[in-house]
This record gives sequence, C-alpha cells and structure tokens, in this order.
Amino acid sequence: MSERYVPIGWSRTKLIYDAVLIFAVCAFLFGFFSMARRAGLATTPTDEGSLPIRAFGSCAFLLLTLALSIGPLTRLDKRFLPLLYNRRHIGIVTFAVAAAHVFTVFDWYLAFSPINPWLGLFVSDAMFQRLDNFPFVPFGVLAFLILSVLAATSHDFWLKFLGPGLWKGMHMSLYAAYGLIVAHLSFGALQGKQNLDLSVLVIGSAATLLSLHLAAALKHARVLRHCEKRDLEAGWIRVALESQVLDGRAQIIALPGSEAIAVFRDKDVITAISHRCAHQNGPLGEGRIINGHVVCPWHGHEFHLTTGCAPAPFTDRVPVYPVRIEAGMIYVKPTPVHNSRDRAAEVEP
Amino acid sequence: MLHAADITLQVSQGLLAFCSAYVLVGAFVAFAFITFGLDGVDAAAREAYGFRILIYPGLVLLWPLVVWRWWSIVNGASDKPRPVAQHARLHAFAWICLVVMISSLLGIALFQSHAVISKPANTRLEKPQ
Repeated sequence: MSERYVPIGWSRTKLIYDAVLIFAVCAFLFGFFSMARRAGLATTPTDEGSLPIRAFGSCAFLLLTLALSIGPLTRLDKRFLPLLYNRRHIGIVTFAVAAAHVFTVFDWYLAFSPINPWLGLFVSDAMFQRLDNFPFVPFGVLAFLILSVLAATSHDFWLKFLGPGLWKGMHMSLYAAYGLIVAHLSFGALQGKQNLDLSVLVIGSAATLLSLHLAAALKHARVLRHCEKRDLEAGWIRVALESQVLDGRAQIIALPGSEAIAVFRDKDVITAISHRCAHQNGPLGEGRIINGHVVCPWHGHEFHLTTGCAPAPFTDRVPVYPVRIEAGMIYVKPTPVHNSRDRAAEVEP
Repeated sequence: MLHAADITLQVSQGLLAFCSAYVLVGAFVAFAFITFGLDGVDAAAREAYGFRILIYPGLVLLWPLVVWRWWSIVNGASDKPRPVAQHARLHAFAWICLVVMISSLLGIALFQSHAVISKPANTRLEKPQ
C-alpha cells in the first residue's frame, strides 16, 4: 500500500519473518542431508548426486503446502494471522527452492548433453502411451512455469495494473500448481521402491491441507450468516444481540446479492463495513482493529470503521452501512452510506 | 515411419523455438512498456525506478496481457472487482477440483507403485555364447 513503488516493502517484522523463513529452509536442507546419509540413502556417488534434487524438491513441496495452509489456518485461529501478512515472501522462497531443484536436475541428469536442457526434460522420458512409467517431468515443468509467473507478478504493481479480479484469478492457479506437483511426485518419486518416507510426507501433507480447507470452509459457513426474510424489518436487517459481538471481532452477514457486511465492535462502538476489501476482495470481517481502522488480514490494507476510507494519502474506500441498536439487538441497513472523507457513517442510537 | 520419441522430439523442438521467439518479443515489449508506458498507466510508478527490475521478468512472460492492459488503461478502461460471492464460488470450485485431482493421483500412484513392487525382480542375463 505504498504511495510510490519500492522494490520490497521491508519492515522490522518482515525482516524477522524472512530471517526465520530462510533459517527454516536451511535447517530443513541440512537435516535432510544428515538424515539421508544416516539412513544410508547416499551410499553410492549416484545417490549422493541425486540427494540435492530430492532435498530441494521436498522442501519446495512443503513450502507450497505451508503457503496454501496459511489461509485456512488463519480462519481457524487468529493467532496465525502474522503468517498471512507476509505470505508472498513464502511464495518467492518456494519459487527459489523450486528453481534450485530444476537446476540441480539440469546439472545432474542433463549436463554435457548436446541438446538444450529444457528440451531434454521433455524428450528423455517420453512414454506417454502407457500409464505405468508415465513421464512425470512435464507435470513438474508446468508447475514450475506457474510458480515462475506467480513469483514474477507478486509485486503490488501487478495487482493494480491487472486489477484485483484478474490478478487474484491468476494467482489461484497456485492450486493447479499444487495438483501438478502431486502428479509429478505420484508418477515420479512415489513409484520407487524405497520411498515410504516420501509417500507418508506427500499423503500426509495433501491430507492435512485438504482437511484444513474443509474445516475452514465449514467454520466460514457457520460464521457467515445468510440474511433471511425474517431478518428484514422495515428495510433493516437484524444481525445479532449486542452482547454476541465480541470486542474487536465482527459478525458477518451475507446479503441476498453478492455483498456481505461485517458488523464490528470496537469497545462500545458498533459499526458496519463491507466484508470485501477494496484491494483484493480480502475478508475484512476477519481482520483486526487498530486505532479505529480494520486491517485486512490478507495484505494489511486499512479502512476506517465509520467512514470506510483508507488513511491519507491513500484514496481507497469501502462501503459502510448505517447501524441501529434497539433493545440490545443490532440492526443494519443494507444500503451503503454515501460517505465522504469528512463525514462519518450514519450511526443511529 | 516416425517413432513416438521422434514425434516428441519434433514437437518439443517446435515448442522450444516458439518459446524462444515469445521471450524475445516479450523482452522488446517489456523494454518499451517500462520506457514509454509505465509512468502513464500508474502514477505510483513515477520517479520509482528500483522496482522496475523486479517487474521486468513478469512483463516478458505476460507480454500479450501487458499489451492488452496497456491499451485498455490508455483508453480509459477500469477493472471492476469481482463480487465476493463470485470469488467464493470460484475458490470453492478450484478446491473441489483439487480434492478430486489429488485423491485420484495418489490413488493411481499407490496402485502403480504396488504393481511395480509386485513385478518379479530383474534377472541377470547369461553372457551370450
């Protein structure tokens, strides 16, 4: 959310985050080599040469699983939110580790070959007509291509240039990349006879990831209350009892169309703001409140709870809605207030 | 008659030639966009130079999209954010596809792996007489 673009928006928190991330990657690689040698997996020079390939590949798979797990984890437990704020750096590190995997493959299997190594990836294993021994490399190449495009378009410029809809849609291809990597592993490393550890790692990671998303979807379905006819009273929607909305949290209510409203409590003040962030459609209702502003859990964009405006000099704005409290019950009018920077949203006592 | 491996080689060579040409055109488009277009399409890019190196690879990779957005923005097009419900439906669809894909792949992998293990062990052939 910078006024003028900078290469990387560093802050103290982000530096610590990245330092921990890089330390964890190094520790994993060191641990992988140590354990593989101890387990006798590198008894010949051939095994020794393929170890870095397996180490970088496993690390990239785990990082991608982590990156995809952060979203549902934060929805299940707010304590994971700090992981979300810098998720794009995990994506970049995943790409870097995947690139290391690709180049160690070039160095080990395709070095000294007269043909282009990228061409070699496709032609060295070309038995597409049979399911057993089906080539696994093209799946990995496609996944790497997707990771490359996503890493190359991770800067804020791209979001603004392409627009939130297109950018977010494009970045959802990360799911396809994950599926392709599972295919790469399924037809490749998992076909070996001595890969019980890898089988456990892949199946365990995929099962954990899918379970987390399922649990988050179920929780979201419970939290997101759909507006029903009986909730409408003379143009006002009955939301919840005042006591049911906890301090710093929101009750999210889905309107009949495509909009959703987050009704927040900030100490004694109840406000209603769009659940959709102006930046990337992030779930504002799941964000934190800091100094009267709700902070989007996806990328940290801030909006004032009563005006819906981003703090100056930014000009982004989200709709805010009139709120009425009657006999301890919160009501919201589903028509947005035409707010301006100087005028607070209408709040009826 | 061509073997499957020859066909794969020819297809791969063609694909590689196409990719090389694509990247070459992309490099020119990216240079033109950074030099002449960037300041006009995004005010936050004015007098900001360091980030241009970071976006260059993306401009090369996505140059047809860059040309289209450049043209659209210059002609006053705006991007409407996707509604929440539509985004949620797309997200749910992507996840259902992923669940089906991963389950099927791991099922096939385990079945194939078992089939490989069940195969008789390789036997050393006798030296030809």
